[in-house]
Amino acid sequence: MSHPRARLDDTIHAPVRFSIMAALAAADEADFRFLRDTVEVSDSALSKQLSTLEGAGYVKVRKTFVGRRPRTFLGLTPHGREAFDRHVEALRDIAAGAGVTPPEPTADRPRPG
Amino acid sequence: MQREEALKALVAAQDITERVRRRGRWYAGYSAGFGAITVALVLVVGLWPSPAAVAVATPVALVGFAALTVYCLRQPMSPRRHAAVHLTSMAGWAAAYLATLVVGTTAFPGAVWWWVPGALVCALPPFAAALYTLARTAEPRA
Repeated sequence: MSHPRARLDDTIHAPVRFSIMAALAAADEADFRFLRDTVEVSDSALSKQLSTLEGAGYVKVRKTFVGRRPRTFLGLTPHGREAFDRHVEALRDIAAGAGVTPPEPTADRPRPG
Repeated sequence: MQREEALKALVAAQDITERVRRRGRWYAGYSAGFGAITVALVLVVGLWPSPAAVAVATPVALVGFAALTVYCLRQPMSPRRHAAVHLTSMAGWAAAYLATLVVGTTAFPGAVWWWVPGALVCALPPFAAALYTLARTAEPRA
């Protein structure tokens, strides 16, 4: 049985990207400022991480205007949602200790000879 | 990654998802407001079937619906399955509203036994959407 660590997604694994994915997983979409405040990062840091997630096909971007104000909405793609669910499942397995082979008992092991 | 790190990441994710989910409660307020305006509009139009009542109630209701639309557009996020819930709610509302008004104005003008239940049936889809949203946003998840 392989360790669940092998199922962790490298793109999602970084803490800020994991937080972004967690925030977007709880919504259909969220605007940039709300996401920035929720994840507690700067505009530039959020933009950078979003580019990575968008490049991986995990996040979709929608730009619109509300009145005269431009707004950017972000949401997970179906692929991103699946990837996040898989990643969380792997984390749960690690937290539960799945895939960890218990050490063999040594004290009572019969000795050869 | 060690077990402790995984637990820490899961707890952090849960904290964020709960905060975001709670923010989605605005849609419950929107839907409840929509339902309340509907009840008032249907009752006024149905129980006082005069051109004056319609001329006053309809614009007032439209202003209410417009205010709710502005409130909706100003929200920073939409909750999970928002589009499906909203479309289902609006489709149910439109069907009930049309049926209540068309049948009621034709056959039962001013009949309390028709218009009071009719108003509640019209408001049922948005009220159900409000309750669904409250339940979804209160749900603790890992």
